[in-house]
Amino acid sequence: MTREDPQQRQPVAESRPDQPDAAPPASHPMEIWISYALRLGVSLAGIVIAIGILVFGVLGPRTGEHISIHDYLHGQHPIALSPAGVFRGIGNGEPLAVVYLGLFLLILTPVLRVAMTVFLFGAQREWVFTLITAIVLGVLILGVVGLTG
Amino acid sequence: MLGVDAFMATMFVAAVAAGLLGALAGLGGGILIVPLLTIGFGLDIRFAIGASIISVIATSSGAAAAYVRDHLTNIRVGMLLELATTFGAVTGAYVAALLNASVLFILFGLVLLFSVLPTISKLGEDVPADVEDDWLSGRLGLASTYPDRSLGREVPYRVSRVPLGFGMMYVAGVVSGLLGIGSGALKVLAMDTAMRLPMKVSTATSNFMIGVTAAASAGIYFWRGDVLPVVAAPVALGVLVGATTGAAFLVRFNNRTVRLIFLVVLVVVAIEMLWRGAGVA
Repeated sequence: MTREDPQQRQPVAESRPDQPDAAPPASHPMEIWISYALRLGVSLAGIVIAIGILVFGVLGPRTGEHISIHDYLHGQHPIALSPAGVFRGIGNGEPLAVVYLGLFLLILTPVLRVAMTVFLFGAQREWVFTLITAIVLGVLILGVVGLTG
Repeated sequence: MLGVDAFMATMFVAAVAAGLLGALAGLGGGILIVPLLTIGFGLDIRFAIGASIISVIATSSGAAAAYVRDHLTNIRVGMLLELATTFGAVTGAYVAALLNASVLFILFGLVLLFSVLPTISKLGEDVPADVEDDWLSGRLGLASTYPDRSLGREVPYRVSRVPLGFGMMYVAGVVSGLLGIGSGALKVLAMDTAMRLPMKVSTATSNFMIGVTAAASAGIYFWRGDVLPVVAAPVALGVLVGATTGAAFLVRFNNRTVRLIFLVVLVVVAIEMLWRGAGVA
């Protein structure tokens, strides 16, 4: 993951011989930003999930809760499944609520990436791709918000 | 709590192995997670799918970061085709709720067998020659170049048959949303075979798209209650560790042996899943 090779850092300029004016001014920074966004999101989500699951492993569920491994593996959820339920669970000191938060952050990472791409295509005045990316973002938001109810 | 801890630790280790093997074979570890959790750990298939779709996001986003930075990904092609895969994924997540377990097992087994085909044909793959841009590709400026390590230079390539690739991508999205896998094999097939992209670009762009496709259905699974934290957390973390390690090696060598191992694993698991599906029914 941490290789450095100067030969690979050359910008890709002469890539579209048929369309000299359609080439983005610099695809290089865009790729770097997307790469950062992906890594930041996954790392953050991974840390939150790891903290939640380790605390759960050491302390077990919140005092007074009696959910067995059997219940956990058969669809019993220790919190109410809603954004409010997740935060209430964290407030109540339920370690698994932190895991839900981390898992949700993980789902949000690609959404963040697409949102950035909308912005970056817009900044490059690539209107067709701005529109395409915006539609993808819309579908993602509907799914992630939990349109199913 | 020893029972839960030991259970989670075992799942973590198994997920590391799945992630490593999957990333080295260039197909993502997601395809092995559902068989692992159902056959290996006896979990209900819908919870296995819920954990799997989460781990797919972790795998692909981790690997995609490395690919994007290495300029192997064609972001324009990826974003265009994500239109098809996200709509497909939402379709798949809704349809999955209507199907019973045995149907899901059988579908999964069939998709696994199907995944073997591009793995075989890819054993001797390089840069396709004599490809012409189609009308859409020309209009959207999809042709590009990528740095090839073994050749030591920038390799230009063109993009063909975009509508066919787009249609195949919708199907890939449905399969992803339905079975909780990245359907990297289908995505690579669409870009490799239909759109004639170089293999390394197909693989990298597929990985770039998988996370977004998976997120579209993962939200639905998450709020539906099919993502169990004691399963999804160790599996997602394990696959992330395995896939990140695997992706670091992938750019350096094109590994025939790993592909062959993966191929055998896929066939065995596919038969197991089909058998399970028939047995449940």
